[in-house]
Amino acid sequence: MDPSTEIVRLVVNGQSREVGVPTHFTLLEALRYVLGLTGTKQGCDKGDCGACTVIVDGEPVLACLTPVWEAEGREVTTVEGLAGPEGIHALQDCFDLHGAAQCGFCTPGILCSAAALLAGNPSPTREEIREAIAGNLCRCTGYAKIYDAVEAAALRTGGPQG
Amino acid sequence: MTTSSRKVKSNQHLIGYPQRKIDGVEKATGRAVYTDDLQLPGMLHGKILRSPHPHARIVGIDTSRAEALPGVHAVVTGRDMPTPYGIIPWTQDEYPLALDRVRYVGDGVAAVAAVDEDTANRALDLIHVEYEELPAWLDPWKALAAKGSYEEGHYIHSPKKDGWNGNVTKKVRLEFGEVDGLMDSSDVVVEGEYFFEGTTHAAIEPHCAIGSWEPDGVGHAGGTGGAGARDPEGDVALDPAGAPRGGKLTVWSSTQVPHYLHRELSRVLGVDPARVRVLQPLVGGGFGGKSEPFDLEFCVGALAMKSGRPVKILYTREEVFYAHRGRHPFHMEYRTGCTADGKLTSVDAKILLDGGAYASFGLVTTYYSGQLLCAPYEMPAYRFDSTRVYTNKPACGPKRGHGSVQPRFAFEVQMDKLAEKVGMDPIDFRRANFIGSDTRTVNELRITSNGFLECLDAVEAASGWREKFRRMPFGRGIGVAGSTYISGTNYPIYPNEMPQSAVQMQVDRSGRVAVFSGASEIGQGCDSLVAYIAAEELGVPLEYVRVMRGDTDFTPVDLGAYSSRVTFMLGNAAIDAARKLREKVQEAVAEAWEVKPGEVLLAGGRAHWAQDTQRQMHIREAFNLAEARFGTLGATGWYNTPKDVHGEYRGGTIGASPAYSFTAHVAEVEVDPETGVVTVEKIWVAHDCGRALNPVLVEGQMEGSAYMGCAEAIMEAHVFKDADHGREGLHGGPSLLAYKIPTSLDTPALESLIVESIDPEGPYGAKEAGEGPLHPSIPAVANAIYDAVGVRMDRLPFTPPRVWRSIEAARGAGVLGKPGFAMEAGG
Amino acid sequence: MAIIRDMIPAFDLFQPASVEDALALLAEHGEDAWVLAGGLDTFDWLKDRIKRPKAVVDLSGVEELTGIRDTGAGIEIGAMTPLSRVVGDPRVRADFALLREAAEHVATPQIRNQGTLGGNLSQDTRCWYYRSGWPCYRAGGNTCYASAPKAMNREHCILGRSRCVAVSPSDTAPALIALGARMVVRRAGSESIHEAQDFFIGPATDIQRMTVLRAGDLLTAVRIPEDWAGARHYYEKVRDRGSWDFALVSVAAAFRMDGDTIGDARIAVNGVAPFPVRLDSVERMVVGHAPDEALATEAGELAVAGARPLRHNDYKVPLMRNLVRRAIRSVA
Repeated sequence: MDPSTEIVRLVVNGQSREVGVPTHFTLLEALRYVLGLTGTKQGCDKGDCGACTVIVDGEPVLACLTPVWEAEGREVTTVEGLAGPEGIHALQDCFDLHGAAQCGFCTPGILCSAAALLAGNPSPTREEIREAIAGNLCRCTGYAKIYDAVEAAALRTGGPQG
Repeated sequence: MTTSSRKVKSNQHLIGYPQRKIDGVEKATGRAVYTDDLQLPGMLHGKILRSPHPHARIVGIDTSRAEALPGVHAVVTGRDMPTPYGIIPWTQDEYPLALDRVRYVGDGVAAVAAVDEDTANRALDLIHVEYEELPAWLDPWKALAAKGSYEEGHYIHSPKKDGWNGNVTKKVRLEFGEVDGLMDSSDVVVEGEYFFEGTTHAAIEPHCAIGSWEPDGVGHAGGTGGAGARDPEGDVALDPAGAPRGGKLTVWSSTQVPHYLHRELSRVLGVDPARVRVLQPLVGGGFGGKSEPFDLEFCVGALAMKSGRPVKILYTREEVFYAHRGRHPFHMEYRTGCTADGKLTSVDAKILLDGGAYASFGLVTTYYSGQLLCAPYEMPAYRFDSTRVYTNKPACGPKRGHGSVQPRFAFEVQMDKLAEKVGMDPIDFRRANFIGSDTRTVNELRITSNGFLECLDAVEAASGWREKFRRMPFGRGIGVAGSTYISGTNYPIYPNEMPQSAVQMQVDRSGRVAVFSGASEIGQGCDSLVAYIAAEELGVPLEYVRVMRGDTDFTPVDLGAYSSRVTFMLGNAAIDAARKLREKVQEAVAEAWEVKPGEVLLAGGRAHWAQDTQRQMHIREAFNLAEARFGTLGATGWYNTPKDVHGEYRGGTIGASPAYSFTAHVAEVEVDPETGVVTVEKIWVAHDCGRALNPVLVEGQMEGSAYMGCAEAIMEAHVFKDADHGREGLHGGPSLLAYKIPTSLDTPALESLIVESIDPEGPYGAKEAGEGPLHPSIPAVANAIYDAVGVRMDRLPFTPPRVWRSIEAARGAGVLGKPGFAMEAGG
Repeated sequence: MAIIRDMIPAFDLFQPASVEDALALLAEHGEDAWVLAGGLDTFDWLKDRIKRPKAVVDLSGVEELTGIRDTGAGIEIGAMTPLSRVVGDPRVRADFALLREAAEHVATPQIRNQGTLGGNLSQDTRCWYYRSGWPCYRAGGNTCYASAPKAMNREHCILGRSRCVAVSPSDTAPALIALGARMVVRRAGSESIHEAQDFFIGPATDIQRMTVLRAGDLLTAVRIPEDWAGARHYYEKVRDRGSWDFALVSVAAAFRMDGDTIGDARIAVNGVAPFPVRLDSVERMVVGHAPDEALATEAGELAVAGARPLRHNDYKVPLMRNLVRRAIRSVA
């Protein structure tokens, strides 16, 4: 085996996989080019756009700035893992319903930020939604329809309102 | 005419009601496939070596060490692709890789394909390029004044004629009416100088392309192929060993214009166009930034042909910034006159466009800088004198609102200044100059539907304008602006009489409708649009419609996603195809029921008899009757633009569109007079889109446009370093951290107000919505800043340092403060 | 240009499990070692290939470096504690809200989840020229590109320049200075404690470092004494955008009130000098006085005394003046 390649155990979307990756790979490269999970996007590869946001141990992080070895053994959730056994996540349905995805390239990252928000705060205010996606650039929507979609999803899944 | 509050649902119709997009779930689940998501077996990684100099002669390139590096499969240079190209047939002035001269920092000089990215990077380091540096022209004024020769580097391009300045791409001077006379007799004349800083698209998806070469890809190897297998008009082209005899070139690209890419790949790489296939996976945003061929698309093709393996190139974000083709910096001088009672008399404009290193769409940009200003206000006389010059910076091109966003900024600020001088409310001033519908502009463009007055009414009411204008405390302000934009152009980029857009539709026995569409889905929803139309016209549920797209091998030609042409042209083409099929279905059902074909309604998945809708059958059954009656059911539909409505003068075809959209914005701002920070609190956007075919998508375009305009107003600046320590021409900050685009926390509240004027020629009355609503954001913010603190911002962007300096200057001059209420101050 | 890479070059990776192991590795590799905390600053450097360390010492496995604990005399925050944990910590929230606010203003939610307090304090400057690999003084060369006549220096310093005009980018630094924090620095066989304001050094001291840390040193913890627990405070960060961006100017101030007058104050600003600046003279001036408008104005003027703007950053002078003014006004 190439000396710069290591076997890393990744737990992605609930499935444990052992993969051989170069040690200097980022989690983003491993997800996209080794595991074939291309839902997570690369927009800048420098932490400046948020398109590669995934959820690691419940928190949104940037896969392009996470070395693959740091993800070892931690729970990684990508956009492909947001759906549950009963179907797609309410956020995914509401993004579709409200036209929150135009070109769709920032969408997976924003969904991960929003899903992490709703997991910890089932009934966020519009201001809290704004803050939660402040690390995800969208160039198409002006964010308005994204707020609508997250609010609608929260209403559908959230705890008691107010 | 209506200002619609959103309709909710209809059992019979889709058009005009909120619908989901056909690719919405794909995009929300990560299943949507973009170019970089594709991996082909044996695929190599390509990288492009770029010039570190803004202007230099290439003395020699030695690629031998790179070629010898293990893992490297192919290296190409400009010599391998010596055919010039360019999106505009009259200004083809660039090569896929520089031939003998580099013209901006970042110009490609060589490309490699290797087993992995690391090896490709190492190979780039092994390529030796010898340059002889030439003077760099970064300042458009200096480039314009240059004298000398191309050979010595005084000119960036070889002059078209002896004695001409090789730094000038295009000059346009057009005059309509008695400009000087009417200016002289005007009661009020306002003069202003404006500067619009360049901005770039910054789509979140970086450009990506994959090339694949199958030596015997379409069979019949050796047939008509050979190196001579090229477009008859094509120039001498690449002739790599063994190719392209009977082969097939396939290129996947994140392009907005697969058809033009197809043409240029064929011409430049010397492959018969019938042997070139362009596939367009979903595109992660374009905004004009992917609307012409780029170096990577030619390079993946050439590298694939040379190596025999598929090759992918993905731009880094830095390369995206250098690829650019974004909004031109404009230096603008305007003189505008009006009568004492507020009627425009004469408009005189002089504009210098800083074009960057290549022509790109620049010929059109130069015309658009003047041609698209003549509505929504009546202008008795108008002149513009525009010059585009080359500079040693990445080429500028089209960005959302191509060529007309910059003059619109200047002109709408001029309008604000005039309104103040004559003592009119700026909304009333705009109303007083309304050009009307079914008319011609001073430059002879044909206006059909026009909902601009309703747009003004809508933003005035929604924003609480009457209570706010000139009445809010110091530091808070409100401003208005209007605009117009084309719904595509009557004349295509290369002269031809063929349809601008087409679809093919077929229905089958299952009830399913297949639509073959060559239109470019870049997020705006055009794939969904054809599905809505098919479902509406043929009465099938939306989920019965399949859209086959993004592949020049089986879709009819559509010219691409640019100039806001898609809804208008593709929509009409889809209606054409669907109605041809509908008539057959109606006729077959009518025959079975023994009624008139016109009495058969197709809706909600069923065929109904209009006289008694209880009489009905499943749509599948109706389709089967039709197939039995007429044979297999398929139809093509197309749209071509009117060719008889344009100005009768040289250039009068440019700017001619089958329909124009109209927009009005009101922006409300808060200005911190201590720091110069401008916070745009809210923008009200009223847009006449003809008819909102899907209001959700129209609002999305309006909001996205207003956001993007607001971003250009307050933060975006695509700038280059000048001659400090010999590294001139470097990008000011080629990253999404340094080039500021707004986050959720920087974007104002946006309120969309759809106005429907029902255009006589648009599909169901629709016009464009994707670009027009960007224009007024910028002048509306400028005018709001004036209302807030009494300072005129004539240079973009309105960043805190710049606003603070203007405030300080006003403070120093003793004129800082809220402007007087116009009605009281005026005469 | 022509940095068109965006791929991390290969390196030797070390993942110590204890501080002792980490210190041993740092001692062994000396100048060739690179300390990796959250990675935000690190990977930017590595992907551009401007810095190519041979040995990367990743601290993510050193558990003792993460966490916030009560020391009896205040709190101690491990250097590897993520910023979002600092923000969410109940003790920080209750007693040291100034730090919470500062940490909350770092970059974006994702970066606060990944970025650490130690990394935020130790990160390198954002000077465009330096980060693009230009051979400037800070990079070991013999010029400063950012202070050249036509340079782009909108983000650069107005105070404290000495050949280099880059600024300190840390958001948490001024807050920790205002709170009288101390930095715990260890190297193989020794430990030293530094007052927060002394942890940061200017180019006059050493142009190639932003902090006291030398090869072999490790910032292990930040101690915040009780002195300013529950104090009134003011934090404001002015930046181009509502998230992501580094401060153009920021101010952090802690106040103890004595009736209507200011009993004690500590004020620091950042974004104006190569190091976060503690405003001792302003502190001395305001103590014992009522925080009225006149005092605020005077404090603002004193704060910017001696400021020397470059070609494009003159706006920072009023910005800093106004932020200091607002800090004083906040306790009126």
